[in-house]
Parts: sequence; C-alpha cells; structure tokens
Amino acid sequence: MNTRIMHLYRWPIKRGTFSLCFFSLTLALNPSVSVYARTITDMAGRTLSIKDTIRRVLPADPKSSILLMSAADTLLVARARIPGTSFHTLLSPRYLKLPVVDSRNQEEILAKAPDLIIAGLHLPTKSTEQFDILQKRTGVPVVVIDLTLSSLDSVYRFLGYLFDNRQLCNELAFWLKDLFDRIMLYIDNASAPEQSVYYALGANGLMTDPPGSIHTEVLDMLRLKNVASVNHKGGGHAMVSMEQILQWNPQVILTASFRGGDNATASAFNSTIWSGVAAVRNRQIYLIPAQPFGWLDHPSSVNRIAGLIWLTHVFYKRDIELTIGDLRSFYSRFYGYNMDSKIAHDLLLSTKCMER
Amino acid sequence: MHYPDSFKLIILFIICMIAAFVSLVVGHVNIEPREIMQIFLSVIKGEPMQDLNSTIILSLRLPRIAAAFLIGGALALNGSVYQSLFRNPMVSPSILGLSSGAGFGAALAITLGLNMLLTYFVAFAGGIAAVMSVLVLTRIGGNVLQKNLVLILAGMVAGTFFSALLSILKYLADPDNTLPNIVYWLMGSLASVQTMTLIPLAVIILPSVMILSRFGWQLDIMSCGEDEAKTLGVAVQQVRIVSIVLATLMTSAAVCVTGIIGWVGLFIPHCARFIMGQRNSLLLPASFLAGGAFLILADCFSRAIISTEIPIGITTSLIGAFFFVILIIRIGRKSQYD
Repeated sequence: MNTRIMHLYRWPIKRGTFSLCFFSLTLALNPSVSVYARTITDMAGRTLSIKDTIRRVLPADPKSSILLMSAADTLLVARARIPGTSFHTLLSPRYLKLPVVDSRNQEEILAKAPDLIIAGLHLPTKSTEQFDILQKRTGVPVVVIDLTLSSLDSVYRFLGYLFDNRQLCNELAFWLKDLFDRIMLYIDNASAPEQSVYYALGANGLMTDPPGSIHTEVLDMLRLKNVASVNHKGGGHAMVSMEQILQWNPQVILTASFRGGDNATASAFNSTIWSGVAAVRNRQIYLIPAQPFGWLDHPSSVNRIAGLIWLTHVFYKRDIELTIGDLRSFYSRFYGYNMDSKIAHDLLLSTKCMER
Repeated sequence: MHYPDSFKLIILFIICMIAAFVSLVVGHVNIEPREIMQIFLSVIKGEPMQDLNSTIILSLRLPRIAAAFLIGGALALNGSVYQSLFRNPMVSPSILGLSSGAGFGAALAITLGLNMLLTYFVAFAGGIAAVMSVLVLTRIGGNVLQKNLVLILAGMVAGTFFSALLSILKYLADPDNTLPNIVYWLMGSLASVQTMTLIPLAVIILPSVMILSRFGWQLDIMSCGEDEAKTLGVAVQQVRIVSIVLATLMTSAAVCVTGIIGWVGLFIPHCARFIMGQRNSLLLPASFLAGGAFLILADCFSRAIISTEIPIGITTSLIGAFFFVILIIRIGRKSQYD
C-alpha cells in the first residue's frame, strides 16, 4: 500500500476520533445542553437555567449563608466566611462543621462542585453584574435572593420552589409571615412609643445608620423614631458628630456589640460629654446581642428577626413570655439550636446596660 | 509690598485667632457669638454650667479647635523640617513610613476591639516603630546616615511593608463593622477629641515645636550641603537625628488621635515658604501657625457643611490639591520674573 492510499485510509478514522472528542468537549464545556434544563426567574428578575434537581448549594456571601442554613439544610455544601468572626455560640454544631468557602476564590467554588450559588442582595439594586460575571466564569448558575426584612418570608417560599424542598421552606415562610402579622397587629393596637432612638456603632459610638438604611430595617419596621436624620445614600454607615447627638438628644441608645465587646457602650458611659444625652442620664442603653449573629444587623439577614422580637418587647412592652417563646422558636427553626427559657431570659436581661 | 517678617508672623497668628473664632461659632447647633462670650465669662467667674450650649462650646468645639491647631501645626512643621532636611520639596511626613505604621497600628487595635485610648497608643507605637525601622535599616545599610537617599528608600520600604500589613487586616476585617471603622480612621477625623486628649497632645507637640524652631539656622546651613555645614561647625548627625525623632514623636501623637490627614504636611510648608521665604528660623514657626489655622478651618468645614461628618482627610486633600495648583502657577510666574 503506497503512502497516498494509507493516508486515504486513515483520514476517516482521524475525523471520527476528532468529532467524538469535539462532541465530548462541547458537552463538558456546555453542561446546559442536557443538564441545566429548568428555566427560572430569580428575585432580581434574572432568567437562568438550573438543574432539575438541586443537590449541592453554595452561598455567595455571609448574609445568604445564614439564611441557607435553615432553608437549604442538607443541601448546603459550605458556609461563607464571615470576616472578623471566629466563633459562634447558640448555633447548631452541624452548621459549624460545614467547610468555609470564600466566594472571592473561584477555584474554591468550583472545587465544591455546587449545582447552584445563592447570592443575597437588598432589592431593588442598581446592578447584578458581579453575579453575572461569577456565573459566566464558574459556569454555575447564580440565583439572587432579596434580603429586605419584610420580604424574608417570600424568600423562603422562593427557595422552597427552587430546591423543591417545599415543606421545610414553606414551614419557615409560614412561621415568618405569622410572626410579622402578629407583631404588626400588636404594634398597631399598642400605643406608639414616645422614645427616640440612636443606633450607636463604632468604637466611639459616632457611627450610625439613618432611617431608610438597610441596616435599620428593624427600627423602621417597628416605626421607631430613629434620630439620625442624616442624608446618607451610600448604603454604608454614616459618621456623625457628638454635637449632633447632643442636639438630637435620644432617649434610648442601642449599641452594637463590636467584636463581641461593648466599646460604644463603654464610651457612652465613661465620657462626660455623653452624660448630656437623655439616654445616658436615664440609663436607657441597650447592648444588642450578637450570638450567633447580630440581632439588629451585622449581617443584615434572617438573624434580624431576633431583633424584631426583642425590640417589640423593649419599645411596645410586649409580654416577656411571648417574646421568649418567639425567640426560642426562632433559634430552634433557623439556627437548629434548642435554647432553654433561662438562656433566653438571661439574654433579654443582659441587653439592658444598667451601670458601668 | 515688603512687610517685616515679625509682622507676617503676627498676621498669621491673628489669622489663627479668626479661624478659631469662626470655628467656635459655626456648627449644627446655632450659638450666637454673644452667648459664646457669656459662656466664657461664666467660666472665668467659675459659675457651674450644665446646659447644651455650654457643653457644645466647652467640651466639643473648643477641644476640637485646640486639637486642630496643635495637629495641623505639628504636621506642617514636620513637613517643613523634612523638606529642609532631605532637600526635597516633595517630601511630606509620610516619607519615613510613619502614616502607614500608624495606620497599621490603629487597624490592629480596631480589629482586636481595643478601646479608644489603647487604639491611640497602638497607632502611636505603630508610627514610631515604622520610623525606627527606617533608621535601623539605614544604619544597617553601611552607616550611611548622612545619605538622604538611603533614608528615603528605607522609608519607602517601611511604608510599603506596613501598607501591606494594613491591607491584610482590611481584607480579613468584618465588612459590616470593623472595616468601616478602619476606613474611617484612615480618612482622618477629629470627632474623638476630648479635653483629656489635649493634655498628652500638648505635652508632646509644644516642646517638640519649640526645640525644632531653634534648629532653623542649622537646617539653613545644612540645606547648602552637609560638608559645608560640618565645616561651619554644625553637628549634622545630631541635628538630623534629633529633628527626625522630634518630628516623628509629634506627628505620631497627632496621627494617633486623628487618623491620617494628608496634604497638610506637603501643602502648608509651601504656602509658608511663599509668604516667609526660605529661612528656616522664620519658616518653621510660620508653618506651625499656618498649619494650625488651616486645620481649624478644614475641621470646621468637615463637621458643619453637611448633615454627616466628612472625614477631615478628604477635606484637606481636596482643598490642598486645589490651592496647590494655584500655588504652583504663582510660584511659576514669580520665578519667571525673578
């Protein structure tokens, strides 16, 4: 057989091998051909294709991570790193055992082979481009959920539809909706609180969040008079001066537990200037609990429900037993932690700072 | 028109007084000048005061003005000393890595959740540590302390090193609470100043200013060249070390209280030089006064112009950049005619 005939003979085999390889490669690189068959619209209005059955879910950020602990439960393959926080109490150990993934590291995301990434945002938002890019680069669909406090029940319903895990998620959604209804009905019938509130953040207590901020949704929902009437549209915390705080003269100060400590509270109690503020004179300072996550904010996820329950008791004098009952129920459903009544009681008492 | 130098210094002092008065009157709470006078009279008479306005004037605005004067003065004087010492008009207090060191120190304290006093202390130590490491590096580099270039290069190394450490802390920080604290600290603010803060500030800054102001003629001679200075009997090494140590001490004290305030140490010495000329014996006190007046006004602007407090580093940089352009044009024209 001369060389030319050999070439003619070999060519079809080569072409076949090549076609097979190309087809396999296409399948490998474009899984949507056969696997990503279900089309959904996420809460930001983005249309995307996901797998029929979701088995592995990864959070893109700490906020959605907290929310998914209860909603995705066994589907959750990792939790997001919550920077600056190294330990959590009052949280089920099974959540703590989950590996930690930093979503900024895309290789780490791919190593977990998720079927879906869930990203939390406060909607409406100007852009979801970062998630479109993440989706494009990893090849994993990124579903955006709304973290607005009043929409949390609909988030759980949406997640139930997404994971086809309707019973668990619908129970959580129902519990949240029922809680919202009960609290709103209660505050509608209760007399509106007269006290004005200042939310003190930072080591010197001069960082705050105005009404309408994503960080003060609990205060807004409870119709509390947040004194920080500053124009701060950036979304971050606002810096104010001591002069403004003296002028506002809040009757109640809520201080965030800063790194588990109480620096803002200490500043408020120890400084002579702060003694000019009514809340300090009358010892109306509360340290916001932060275990396992902040009750009022930090991060702004489902953890804020505890703050909603707590502040309804503080400002509207809702019955302490009902408050403890709701708190225990919340911890059990959303953190997998069975908190006994004594811990709940102590937690509520510890928030009021009497003397320093 | 040519004015005597002492007259120019008196004018600068009067400008400081006017700036302080403006800053006392301006704020979110409207307090009339007459009422401010009454508050001061009551203080002199020793009458007890508990009302809002007297608290605002005596416990908030007055300490802030005093701190702004001391800190602005310290930063500007440091800039003038460094510019003469390194014979480089583009040098500012951050050249020896002080700002980065103090920034890292403060970020570390914030990350560890330390209180304000400890944060001041750690930031102060960070600034000193950065400059000390520069001096040690220069010493290791073959006892070439007289070589300014090595000092500046070592400063760049320290600055980069501490900036990287600071970035690590920022990267790992909790974005909801710790990170904004670090970022706001780095942008500078006089909001945390209290009456008690003024005592250590004054104890460190005022003696340093007095000693450094007496180095004027030595710095003048040194700016002609080190060999010439040595021939004329100036103890070059000692002057350099004492100047650097004192300038570092007072700038660290300033920065640890306020955070990083840019441009004052670069822009004010040039303004002062434009007014007073090159002689350090006059330039140094003029820089101190001009820096003080500038920061008092910048702080007034920062706290009163909008409903939130603008970090003072932003204000000084914006005003500094704008006026620096004007200054460059005027210096350019002046040298054209000279």
